[in-house]
Amino acid sequence: MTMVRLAIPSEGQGGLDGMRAGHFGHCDVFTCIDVEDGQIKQVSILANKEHVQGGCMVPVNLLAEAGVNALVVGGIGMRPLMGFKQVGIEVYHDGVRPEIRPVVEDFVAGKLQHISNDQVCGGGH
Amino acid sequence: MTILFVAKDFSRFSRLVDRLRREQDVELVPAATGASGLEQLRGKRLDLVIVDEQLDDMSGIEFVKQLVKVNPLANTAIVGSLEDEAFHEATEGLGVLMQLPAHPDEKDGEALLAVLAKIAILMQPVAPKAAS
Repeated sequence: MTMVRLAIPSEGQGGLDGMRAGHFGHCDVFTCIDVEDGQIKQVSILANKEHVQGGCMVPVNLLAEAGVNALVVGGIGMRPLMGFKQVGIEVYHDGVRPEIRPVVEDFVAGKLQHISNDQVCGGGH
Repeated sequence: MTILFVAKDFSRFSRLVDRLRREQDVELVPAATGASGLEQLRGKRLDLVIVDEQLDDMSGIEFVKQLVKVNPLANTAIVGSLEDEAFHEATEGLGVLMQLPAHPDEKDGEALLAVLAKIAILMQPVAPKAAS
């Protein structure tokens, strides 16, 4: 029985019916979804911190401290991606859908792919 | 605080170094080439890496591109002369703290220390709350 805490960078107040944030480091909150045996057990909201130039490791540290072990992004820079790998958080990619719920459902169903190094972006991470 | 300083000629950085050394517990680790700098980074906890615009074996930006794959936790500052937009474009995703002038001075050292202090505050833990 394995529990996964998934984080989705989100706009506004977040939540399963909320909208994803396109800019990972600039999101308002992270919607955190605890998934166990293919079921959503709990949803919590983690406020993001101020984004400062060069502060890529702030959200990495924030999510690691919150026990997150998976993240779905639309885009991310190389440094935070490497940081997440270093702290053991797996990073998945969905660059299309703005809604949180279908992305979470696809994650639970095992349909999302890990982001690859050649999919990293600059800026707005 | 441990700072890795990657440059071929350290004489241009004396005013910056003097300012950094005025802080308590600052250890400066020098490296003359990109390759030696990257070797110094492996598996070490470094608070800051300062790299010159051009090294014998690679550019400062190329060094940082390799650095983030070796030690992404290390904060970086690069010497350069790019316009703001060009610098942002060249370093997107690399998480560089700032671009330093060719002859950085005390004010640049203070700016670096200030941004490091701000990031250190932001790295302090918080607890999540349940969704409503």
